[in-house]
Amino acid sequence: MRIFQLSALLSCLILLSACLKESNNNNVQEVEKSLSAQQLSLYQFTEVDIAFLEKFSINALGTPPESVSNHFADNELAAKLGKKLFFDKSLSRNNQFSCASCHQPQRYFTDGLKLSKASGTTHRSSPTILGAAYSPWQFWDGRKDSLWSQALGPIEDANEINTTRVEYVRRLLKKYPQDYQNIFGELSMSFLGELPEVASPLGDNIAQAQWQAMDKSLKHQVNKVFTNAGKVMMAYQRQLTLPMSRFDQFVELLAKDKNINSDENASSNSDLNYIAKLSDILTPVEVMGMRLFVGKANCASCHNGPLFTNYEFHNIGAPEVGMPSVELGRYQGVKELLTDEFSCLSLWSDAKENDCAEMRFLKSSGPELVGALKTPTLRNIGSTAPYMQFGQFDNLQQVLGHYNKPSPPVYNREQHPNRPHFDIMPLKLDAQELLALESFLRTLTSPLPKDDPWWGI
Amino acid sequence: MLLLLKKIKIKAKKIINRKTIIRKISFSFAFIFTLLASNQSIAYAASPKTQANENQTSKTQASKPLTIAVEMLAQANSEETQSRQLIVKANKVRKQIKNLRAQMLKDKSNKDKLNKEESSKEKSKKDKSEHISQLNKLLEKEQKKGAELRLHSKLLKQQATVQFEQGFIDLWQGKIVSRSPLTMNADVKNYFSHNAKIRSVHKNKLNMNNMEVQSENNIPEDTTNQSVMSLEIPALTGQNAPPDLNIDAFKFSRKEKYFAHIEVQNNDTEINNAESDISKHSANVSAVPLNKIHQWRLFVTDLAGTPIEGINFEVEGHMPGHVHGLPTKPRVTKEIEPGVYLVDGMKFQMKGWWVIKFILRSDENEAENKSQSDFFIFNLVL
Ligand code: HEC
Ligand code: HEC
Repeated sequence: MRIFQLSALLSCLILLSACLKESNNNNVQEVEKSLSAQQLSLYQFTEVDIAFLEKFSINALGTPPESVSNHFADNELAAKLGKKLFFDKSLSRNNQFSCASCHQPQRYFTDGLKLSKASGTTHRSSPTILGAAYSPWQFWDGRKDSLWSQALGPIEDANEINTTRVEYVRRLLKKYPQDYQNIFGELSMSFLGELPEVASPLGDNIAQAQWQAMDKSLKHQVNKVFTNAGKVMMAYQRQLTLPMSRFDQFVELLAKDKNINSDENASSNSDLNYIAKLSDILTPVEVMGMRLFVGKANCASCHNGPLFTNYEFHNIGAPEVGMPSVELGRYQGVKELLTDEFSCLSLWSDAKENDCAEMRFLKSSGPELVGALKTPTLRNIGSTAPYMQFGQFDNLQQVLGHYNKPSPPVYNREQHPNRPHFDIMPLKLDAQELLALESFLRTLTSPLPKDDPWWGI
Repeated sequence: MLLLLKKIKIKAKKIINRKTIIRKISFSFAFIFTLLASNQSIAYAASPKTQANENQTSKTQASKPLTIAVEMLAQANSEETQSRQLIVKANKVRKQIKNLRAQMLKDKSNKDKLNKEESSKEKSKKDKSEHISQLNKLLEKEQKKGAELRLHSKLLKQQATVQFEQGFIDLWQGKIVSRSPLTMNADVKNYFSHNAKIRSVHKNKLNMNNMEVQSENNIPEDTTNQSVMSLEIPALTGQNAPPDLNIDAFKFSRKEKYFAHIEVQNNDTEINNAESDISKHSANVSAVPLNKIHQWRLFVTDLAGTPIEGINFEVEGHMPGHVHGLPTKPRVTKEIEPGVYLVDGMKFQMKGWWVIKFILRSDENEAENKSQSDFFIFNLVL
């Protein structure tokens, strides 16, 4: 009975938003006729509401935090070279892969796959790189502490670009000698002649043997160029910005007109006009979803701020996919950070040791790290399926289904150091509320910026 | 017969009444004492020996407040022990009363059944009820005294802390920059919190009004305020600190062997670097930044006021009501001077009630297991 009523209300809402969209803004009477009092109240926000919502607006984002470990982070020449490297397949061993293979601009820098495919199949799903410049940690488990260090992983990874650092450095300096030297100063290329065909401390047996055989200064020269490649790709990714989504436009209009709106003398006509404008941007269902998102559904406790993430690590119990090993998440991530060749504390970082506070005081143990993953951004979420670290969920309905009735994390006594924490509670939302929440998530998609050279569409 | 029963009933009622009266009395005592405490001048009227020394406050006798504090502490502890003994005694009396009553009830039902030996039974009943009323008086007295002592001991301890704080200030001669509890600047807003054990939506919505204008010790109230916000932001249960929480920046160690003070280390270079964002330190020297790694200083002496060198500290922190600890692993990175420790790596990702624990792992403790180590606990309401 109740469900029937609700769905009646909902379809009414959906229809309504459709007619509102078509209706002339100035046609106040029509708005008045079609919006019931209850629906009108959805669009009524207090000043504190608006101040709260503004914290989620892309306008509140600002520039990425200062990078202590990369002096070229905000260098425009570096960003330009970084863009070339990001898209250039000819730097890979078989001329087939680049970063953009798995981070495609048309798909908001994801690839639409559960697990990514290049040289092989990756262990996890490819996240967007939009907003990554704002996160202190990279990868789902945060096993890298900067974007430049992160970028060096996929180049050598056997499942990804599968190109040893010696190969990569040789190709880079042959193709972009001028761009490189414009940024990093004059460089004698003679060392390239002394390099073996393939070599890396991380590669297969042959590559590793060759690397061991190289003398120290040669290794040093290779690593210098290799890490600089990471630094320019970091500079590139810091240039990527997002155009306003419908959600941002809605909040901007609210913020702009909050004074007018709160003016008690305003005629009810102008009020209705204002609501008509608001409902042109977000439908009543979407606004209902927004209220749920920050309210009862509690999504904003983790997905907050302009990028809809706190960039911290949580365990929401997304199902395991039956691989031989369980998802250890941040627990494993910190272990790898401690031995990372290219961290903020490494020789290749531009930071003084004392500047690397996050690494010096890294929380390297604690039960809450087990199985915890970095909260992903929800920007453009409607266009970046499938979801979660293994692409466990094909669509947003499945994601919301999980949040509504979550399965607790699997506890594997042999592999888990302790029972994983579980950071969410069942929501008990009804079908209509779930639909509203989903509609809201879709308002977070920015239009693809076809003219933005950094996006390179 | 009937009359007698009635009498008993009345007595029983009286007993109950008396109980509530006792409660009322001890309540009003508590009230008076708290009033006195806020005046900060009471306290050790109970220990005249030290009172005589009180007006001799001079710089040359920097250790005087410490001596007083130690005496107060000893007095407080002995009172606490006494009070505990009284309570144990009171509990015994209560049990006795209960037994007597049970016996009376039993007698009554027996009598109803057998209806004999009436006179002798009645006599014993009379004795018993008299005994009960005597015991009740005793109970009342002991409870009252126990409660008074406990309260007095608590207040004495607070006074001892105040005295010690004064001694500490004299001792470190201008090195202690801030005596206030650690806070966060009121203009730092943080609407979000997470990882709560319990979430509730309607019962205690976050009161945004209070977040804007925070009260003196930053304890947000739990009231709803729909007129200010139409968004129903969930609040976390267990996030609010109890109103009488001790948030002092000066504390005795758990075993009362040491005394310590914490304060925020304000790095001059950072202050000069005015371009840094919201998290920059303001003129408020007791303010910790949000979401930024920063440092504290920890001052430690023994009860004689001697700085304690070379302590190996372990730093722990958590938020009551949440399943997470600090986002970093802070540690003591250096001993700036004897007894003054630099704690680096402190970071708070949320406002609210934090508990920070410094566990002493000095050599003598090495052999002991973790749970036996002495420690300092500081409550922060950010
Ligand atoms: C074969 C596909 C593939 C290629 C090629 C690839 N990536 Fe990725 N990328 C992934 C996957 C999968 C992840 C997540 C892996 C994980 O977290 O364990 C990822 C993660 C990232 C992240 C972390 C984002 C975040 O929010 O944590 C960044 C940044 C990134 N890649 C940048 C790059 C750059 C730069 C390159 C080129 C040097 C590159 N990727 C090449 C698949 C790829
Ligand atoms: C306790 C913190 C937390 C809360 C609360 C939370 N999330 Fe998440 N969310 C995460 C984490 C962590 C992940 C990644 C988990 C994984 O991959 O296993 C995630 C993943 C997601 C994803 C997939 C993102 C992607 O790119 O794959 C979506 C969509 C999402 N959350 C939506 C929501 C919604 C809607 C809500 C409210 C109903 C919500 N989340 C509440 C932490 C949270």
